[in-house]
Order: sequence, then C-alpha cells, then structure tokens
Amino acid sequence: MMAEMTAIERVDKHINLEEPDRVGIAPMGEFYYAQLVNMSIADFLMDPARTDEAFEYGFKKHGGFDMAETGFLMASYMSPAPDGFSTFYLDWHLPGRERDPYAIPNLNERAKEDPVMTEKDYDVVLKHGFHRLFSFRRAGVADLGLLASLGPKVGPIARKWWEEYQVPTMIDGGFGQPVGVLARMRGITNFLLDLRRRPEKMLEVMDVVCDGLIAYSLNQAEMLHARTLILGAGTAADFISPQMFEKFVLPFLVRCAHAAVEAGYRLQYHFDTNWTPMLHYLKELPPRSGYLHLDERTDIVAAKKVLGDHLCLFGNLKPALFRFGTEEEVERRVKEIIDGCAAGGGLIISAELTADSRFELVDKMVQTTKTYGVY
Amino acid sequence: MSESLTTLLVDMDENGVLEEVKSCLAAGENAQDILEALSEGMNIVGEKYGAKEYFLADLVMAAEIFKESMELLEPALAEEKVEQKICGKMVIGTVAGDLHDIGKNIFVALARNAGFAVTDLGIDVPANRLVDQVKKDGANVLGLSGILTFSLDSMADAVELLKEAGLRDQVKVIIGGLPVDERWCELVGADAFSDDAYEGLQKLLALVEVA
Repeated sequence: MMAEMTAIERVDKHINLEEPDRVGIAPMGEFYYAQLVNMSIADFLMDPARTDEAFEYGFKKHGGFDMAETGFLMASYMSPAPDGFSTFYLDWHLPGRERDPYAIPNLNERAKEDPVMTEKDYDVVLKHGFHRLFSFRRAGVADLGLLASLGPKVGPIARKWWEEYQVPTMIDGGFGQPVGVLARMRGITNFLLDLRRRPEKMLEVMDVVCDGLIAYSLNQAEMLHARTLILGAGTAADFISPQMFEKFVLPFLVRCAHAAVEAGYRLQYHFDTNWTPMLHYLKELPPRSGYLHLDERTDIVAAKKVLGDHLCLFGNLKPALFRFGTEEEVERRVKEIIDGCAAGGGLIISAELTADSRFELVDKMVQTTKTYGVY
Repeated sequence: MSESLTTLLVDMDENGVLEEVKSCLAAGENAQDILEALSEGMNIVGEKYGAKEYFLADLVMAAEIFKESMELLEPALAEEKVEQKICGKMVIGTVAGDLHDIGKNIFVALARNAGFAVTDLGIDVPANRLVDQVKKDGANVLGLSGILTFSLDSMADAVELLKEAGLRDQVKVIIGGLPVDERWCELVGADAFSDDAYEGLQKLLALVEVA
C-alpha cells in the first residue's frame, strides 16, 4: 500500500489517469451541507462565507473529501451574461425571494409562446454579436451590487482549500456553450424546433454565440479566481439524434473545451442522462483535461472501456438513493463502480446529492470508497 | 391521401403536412379521415421513439406539426360533428414546489393523441387543486409529474387527498419524472410510474385497460 496522498495529489493522479493511493471521493453536495447545519438555503446561497461554513462542517463530519465546494453558485445565478443560468434573464424562483428560504431554487421553464429569447434575437446576434443580448432585464440594483460582492469573497475561500487544506476545488466557475444557452433562452421546445426548421441559420448563430461565451466565461473565471470550470453538454444525450449531435453540439463543445484548457483551466464535463451510446464522441475532448461527471443513467463500466485512456470518470450514484436507499445498497453500488472502473486510476466516486439526502447514506458512500477503494 | 399524409408526418416534413392537410380539406375530403391519418403518423413516431430510432427532438417536432394540423382541421371536424373517441379522462400537473414540465408536456401530447381527454393544470399545482379537478372532470386517471426529490411528498399528498375524497378506488395514479422508480412509486402509493414519456403512455394505456 502506498503512502497516503493529499487530496490535490490524489485528484491530479486520477485526472492524469494514473493510480494514486485510493479511489477519489467527492460528493456534489450543495444544499445538502446547508441541511446538515440547519442553515436556510437562502443564507447558504447568498453568502459564499456561509456556504463555506456549511461545507466545511460537512467535510469534517464525513472525515474529508477529495474536492471542496466554494460557494460560487450564486455568482452563476447573478451572471450578467445570458449564459444559460442567470436569473437576470431566466425565471428562477430563488429561496428567500420567490420561494421559502429553506426551499431549493427552481427554474420556471417559460411557456413555448413566451420565451426569453425570440426568433428575432437570432438576427440581432448575427448582425451585432452575442453581447447585444445582454439586457439585465430582470436584474435590480441590489442584484448588481450582490454580483460585485461575490467575486472577492469566492477567491479567498478557494485559496484556503487549495493552499491551506491541500484540497482542490470541485467547480469554481462556469463555461457556457451555445446549445445549453440557446436551449434555456429559447426554451427547449422552441430550440428543438429551430434546429429542425432553420438548421443552417442556427449554425451561424451558434458560431457567434460560441465566441461570445468563450470570451465571457474566461473573464468570469478570472474574476472568481477559478481553477475548475463546469462545462455541460447543453442537451441530453437522448434529446437529439447522433447526426444532430455531430452537427450542432460536438463542434462547439470541443471548441469551448479547448479554449478553457488552453487558458489553463481544469474542466468538470457535466453530462447528465444516458450517454452510453454516444461515449465515443467524447474522445474528441482534450485528453486528461478534467473529469467527466456521468449520472446513474450512463453505464460507467462502458464509459471506462471507451474513455478509460482519455478522461477521469466521476459520479454515477443515483441521487435518490441517498434519500430512499439503504446503507447496504449504497455500499453495494460503490463497490460495483470501483470493481468495474478503478483499475489504472481515473475514478472519483460522487453523486449529486439532494438537500434531503440522509447523512448515514452519504457517509456510507464516503467510507466505502476510502476503505474498499485502496489500490 | 391518408398514406402520404402519414408518411409526411413520420418524415417530419412540416410544410408538406400542412400543405397536404389544406389540399385535402380543399378537395372536400373527410376531416375524420385526415385526423386518422395524422394520428397514425403520431403512433408510428411514438413507436420509433420507443425503438430508439427517433429522439426526443423528433417527438417534439411531430407533436408540433400535429398541433398545427389540428388548428387547420378543427373547424371542419366541428362542422362534421365528429365526436372523438375518448379512452379515458386524465387530470395532470407538475406537483407543488416543482416547476419542471418538458417531459409532462410531451406525455400530455402523446396521451391526447392516444384518445385521452386531458386537463393539464400546469406546474407547481397544489394537491387540493388536482383532486378538485379530478372530481370536476370525473377523471379516471391522475397524472403527477416532478423531478425534484421533494416532489415525492407533494405526490404523496395528492394521493392521500384522493383517498380522503373517497376516489382512490376509481382513479388510477401514474407518476412521472426523471428520478421516479419502483420504490418512489410505492412510497407515493401510485399505480404506475415512468421516467420516459412514451413508456409512460404504454403504462397509462395498460392502467386504463384494467381500470
């Protein structure tokens, strides 16, 4: 058995597809940590210092993880760019505002007839560029002030984890890509219809939007002193055909990934839903450039076979398991993933925990990984 | 007409379908026959989706073309006094606290095409409103949608209210959403579940057959 590594050393080894001392463990907890300290979601969300307080409590209570959460989330809700997440454009119902302080944020997916972005906006983008979509239409002065206060708070928290605790941050910035942004801004139904009705125009629009998003995402990452950025697929694997994926998604995804990596960032590729039949496409992402989050719907053993020499795998436990499951089920699933995917390194066990996840079930995932996952 | 209209819909040729519907109507063809050809097209699209030949984007496109065609057809259907066959009445909504509705909307489109009279109450619908609507419509199915784990409690509340109203024996409950599974279904006390709109339709049809 090799000597115990720091979390930074361990995660670096996994990302480089080498075997460290053990399999990585990094729950994506977010509001789960607020629940552990009985903090309202509103308090957790609005102040990175409170986020860090709750996360650090959970981190210590579980005996440590291999990645830290830093409270950048609110900055993404406050993004001034129409990057697919911002409450300045989208109809988010946030705790302490439209919702109870203890409720989680909820996106009101606007009716097909009432999209944030209209068909005419495509012409605006083509004529004037992506920045002409910036409107702050739902923002108030208070939100702009809040945004200005967030960046300076997140940076020192991230530094604390990296430098003092030797734990890398999980995600501290976002990276928008055209499909994700346009699907949110137009609404998924309108967007899918647009792809069918005017494919060539959509490619032109996406080309312009892609350049704008790269510029904005890199600037935001710099403001947040980020090191790891989240890049989503922007659409679910079973939403569109492989032919449409090749035409409308993959080229822009690859372009964004290369831009982030060339600028020195690590990426969390966040790919929800079932990617099993489309895993081979992900070989086009820069190798060893981060870690690939797959939820329980993708066959992670198949992913290991296809991508084991290309990207570190992350996640794969079903979130609902941590509310409705048993300790035996959690242990069994963690062991299955380790048995199928740990060889050669490149595996970090995780789940996107819901706020109502049970401590003992999360702890079973953490402790099983730490003991059963030793190389 | 009917075969080419069906094929045009399966091929998702939007302009082709709409032109064909207009041309059939102008030629005085029976609106009921036109509707049946379109419904057959939707059935084939659904089957292809079930067989993973088609994707969600295809279902969305086909449902949109069907909706546009119905707007053209409705006056003629009204004139012919066509009474559409109803195989069940369903009240559906995304439950309280949850605002997600993409999957529900596709499920509703498929259910309507299959012959269900559907009252869709939208998103963030309180349990009492769902049950009140079931009473009002005399519905035999209640559909509950949600993707947040918190939605389980709202779904369970709706089933409980249905029991309190003395309607549970007459009304089948189907739940849908990405995280739902067998255990979730048991905890809610529902009769069927699905995380996929097309599979959900098959389960809905099976439910009504035994109801």
